[in-house]
Amino acid sequence: MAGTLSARSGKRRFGWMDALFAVTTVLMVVNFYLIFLWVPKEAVQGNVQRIFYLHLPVAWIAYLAFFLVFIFSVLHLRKRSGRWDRWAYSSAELGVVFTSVTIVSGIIWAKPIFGVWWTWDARLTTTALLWLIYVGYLMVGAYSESPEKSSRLRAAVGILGFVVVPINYLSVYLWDTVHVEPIIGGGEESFLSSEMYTTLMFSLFTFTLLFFVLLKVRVMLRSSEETITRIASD
Amino acid sequence: MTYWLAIAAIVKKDLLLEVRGKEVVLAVSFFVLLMVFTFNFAFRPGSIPNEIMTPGVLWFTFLFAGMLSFQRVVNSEQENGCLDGLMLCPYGRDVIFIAKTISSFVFVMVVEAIAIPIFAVVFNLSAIPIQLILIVPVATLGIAVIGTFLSALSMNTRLREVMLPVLMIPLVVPAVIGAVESTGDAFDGAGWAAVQPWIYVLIIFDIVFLVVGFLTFEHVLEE
Amino acid sequence: MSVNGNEHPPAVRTRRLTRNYGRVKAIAGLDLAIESGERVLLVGPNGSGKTTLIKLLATLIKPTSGDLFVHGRDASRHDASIRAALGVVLHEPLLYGRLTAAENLRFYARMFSVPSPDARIQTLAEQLELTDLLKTRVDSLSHGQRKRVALLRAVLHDPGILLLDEPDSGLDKTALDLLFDFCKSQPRTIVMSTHNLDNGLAIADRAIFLKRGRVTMDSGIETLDREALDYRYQALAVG
Repeated sequence: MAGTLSARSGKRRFGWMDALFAVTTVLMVVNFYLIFLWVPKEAVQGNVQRIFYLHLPVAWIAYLAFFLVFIFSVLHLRKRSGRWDRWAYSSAELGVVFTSVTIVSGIIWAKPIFGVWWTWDARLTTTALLWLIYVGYLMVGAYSESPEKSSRLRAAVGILGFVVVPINYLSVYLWDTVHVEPIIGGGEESFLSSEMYTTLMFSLFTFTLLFFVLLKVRVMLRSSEETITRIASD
Repeated sequence: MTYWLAIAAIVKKDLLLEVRGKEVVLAVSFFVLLMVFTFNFAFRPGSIPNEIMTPGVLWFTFLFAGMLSFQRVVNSEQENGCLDGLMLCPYGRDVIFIAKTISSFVFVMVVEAIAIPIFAVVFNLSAIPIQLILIVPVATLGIAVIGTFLSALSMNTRLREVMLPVLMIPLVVPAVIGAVESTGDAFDGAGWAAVQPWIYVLIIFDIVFLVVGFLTFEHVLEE
Repeated sequence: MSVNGNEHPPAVRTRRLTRNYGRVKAIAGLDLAIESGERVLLVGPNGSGKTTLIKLLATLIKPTSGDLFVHGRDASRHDASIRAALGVVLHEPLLYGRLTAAENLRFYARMFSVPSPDARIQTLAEQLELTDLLKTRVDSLSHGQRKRVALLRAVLHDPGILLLDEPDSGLDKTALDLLFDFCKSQPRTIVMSTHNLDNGLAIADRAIFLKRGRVTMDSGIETLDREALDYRYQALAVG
């Protein structure tokens, strides 16, 4: 993948993106070592709890990604240059990927701990709704007439989609406290030992770094895609 | 002042068009009637008490009825380039957004006013709770705001009939939850106090989307 | 109305006005000044950017880059108030088919806050020979009749600038004469696009030739030798 980064300039150069990519790779290996080998087994949940060190950072990234979509969408509507749309779109794509991982890892974690695959709690439901909203966001671009127009349409969706998050959370929370038996105990609220805390923070940092590297790569790819479309249409 | 007169003029024109064409209220009311009858077959007879089933059936019917109406109200401006005609008027695009939202809201409210008594009869409800007087307009406004905005948005995409529900349903969930829960509470005979938090959620929803729609509509409408 | 201390700013001025549709430059860096009272003809083959320019001037679409000033006012900031000074006729009539002509006109009169709209509609309808048709649904009007109602719609609020996008398309000779007589009788700035040069020359005093979003020739009608113009136009229409 690093090869594609500098391919634009025609010759291979070891640029700062390659360096960042290498650093992220090393950190991710260390991260997995910490999560699966170094950090002690949690007393109540056992090894399954290790998924928490992946689940929480990935969920955080998903929300960060959608927050960035919101920011970039606002910028795009104000500035109307293709640049912010590229950032918004790329961030949305990554957000959808990270949300998918969040949901799947949540399901895998929930089954042995809570005894069910799915609970309609506020966090999970809000996250699932976000996934649906931003898949819609990606679809707007795919089914529009002109690229310039569709970039504005999806920016509007990107703004609505993030603005709805707190209202979603509030309404699902109110709804959830009415209906769902509070079966959740332990989990993230339980006490974290210092090793656990260190591992979590390290994982958080590594995944955030990974996200920004991927985002930058995706933006570059998208820019190349646009160039190719332009050349092809001439 | 002229701002509101312009909005009133568009709404009045929409009502006149509806009186002539009967494209929204009549057709959508019939659709609602169909839904009421066929929804019964989604459940095995007697398996769920009607009081529990009604709020959900009611509001999902209204949601679908709304989506048909909003699309019609917005797309009616596409004949003969009338949308350009509106955009040539000496106001911002937000006038169009507000006016179309009001028109959509009025039409769906009429449909609901027709449908709720029919629901009561078909589902053998002994009474229609008074709280619906507040719940129905507040929830319908939220659905109309976002429905109008997204109808205008999806108007310019391919597969627009698909894009409206795909974009709208996940965004409208808070309004649907608020509507279903408060309606359910009302049917259970709970007082105003129980309904209150949901009314607040619905009002927040309405305001937030009115503001965001107001600020971004011009970008959606522009060619 | 004037800005920058300029006593009589041009009715329309553009500065490097550009509008792209995807990769296509529909209007490419146009610098234009149209004085108040000028009657300008936009001539060019299909796809030359005539309609895009009319839509840009009408503030229906935003420029990709560049500026537009109407009566000295920046369109990117004062677009709503600028629209009050514009009367626009597009290809489509901008009329609701299920409403009568009068209902359509009253609606637009309200939108433009026209004082005593009914009297205004009556007067204009007489000039355009539409009086008998006011109570007819637009659906049932012929193409030419719709064009005339569309023109009436555009001038309801007595705009200083008329933008006409191929108003002559699909009109017979009598309808066309009526339309042009009406245009001539009005002391306004007129920008009219056409692909029929003969039609336009009857009312214009300046012709701007467009090709691929650029001005290829800009000249007063009087100073132009007709044969040279025809030759030029033929070349444009073919190329």
